[in-house]
Amino acid sequence: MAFPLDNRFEKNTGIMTMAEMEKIAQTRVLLVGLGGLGGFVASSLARLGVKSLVLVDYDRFSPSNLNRQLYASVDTLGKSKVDVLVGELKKINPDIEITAFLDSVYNLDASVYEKVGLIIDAVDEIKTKLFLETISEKHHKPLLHGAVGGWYGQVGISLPGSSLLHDFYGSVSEGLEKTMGAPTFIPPIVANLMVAEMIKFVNRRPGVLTNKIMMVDTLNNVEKIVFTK
Amino acid sequence: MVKITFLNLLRSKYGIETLLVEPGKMEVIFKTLLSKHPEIEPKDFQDSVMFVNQKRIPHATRFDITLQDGDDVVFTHFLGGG
Repeated sequence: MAFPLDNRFEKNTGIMTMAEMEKIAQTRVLLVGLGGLGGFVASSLARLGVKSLVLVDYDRFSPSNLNRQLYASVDTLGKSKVDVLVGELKKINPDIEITAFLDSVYNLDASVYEKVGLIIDAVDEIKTKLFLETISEKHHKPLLHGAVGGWYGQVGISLPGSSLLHDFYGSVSEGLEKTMGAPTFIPPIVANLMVAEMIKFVNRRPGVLTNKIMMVDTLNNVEKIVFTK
Repeated sequence: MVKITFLNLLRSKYGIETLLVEPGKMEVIFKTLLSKHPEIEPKDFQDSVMFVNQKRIPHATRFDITLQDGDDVVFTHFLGGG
């Protein structure tokens, strides 16, 4: 039985006007990394009504993803993350237009960046986060950043020219994720903090983390802006 | 006074949230911190990053800086997972 989908976004209207929802819908998003953060970000973008999404990940689902990655299951092990997400996101929102690259972001053609309005960093290496900031500056696109490790996460938005992430990380190549891993609950929390920032940023709401890094500590229930450009 | 906030690993491991210390050179403040909290392993400080008033302090020079009255200091660790 087919259900009408006319009211599928009505629970979002309590915090956004129709005009704001339309701005979100019209934002063409490039999402790089479809692991812990990326899977939840992608799901939320589809449920927000984003109409056009570019997905990039070279990886396939493996058993070590099962603890935290939304679309990792025994049925998807060995399958490419982009292929799985294309199918799953279209089940959530059949109208979404997805361009998918089963490839490293380092191999992406420059023309891809020109067609998007926002780049999202959901990758799991600091050097790739810095690469994305370089790309975002080169193509004059804002970069929505997120990172996790252990009980902790961080979120921020780097505007072109800010060098937010380069100045934040400096020459550091790895963080607490190397010793504390990424437990089940932290990617969805941080991913959806990122999505909240996107909603505020696109709609020019106050309180957005533009050129700021906010750290979140779920063990001690603390959040604090630690860095501003 | 200078407010020092421990975030993430340092707060979790040692149970220290915030400390109020007298203004002065960070090298002196650091020694005071370690004398008050000898349980802090030097490596945890070594691996941490320091921010003052939301600006990052370079690792190599952080003991050389002088903290002023009202400064907001954060010690935390980097995160890079996705």
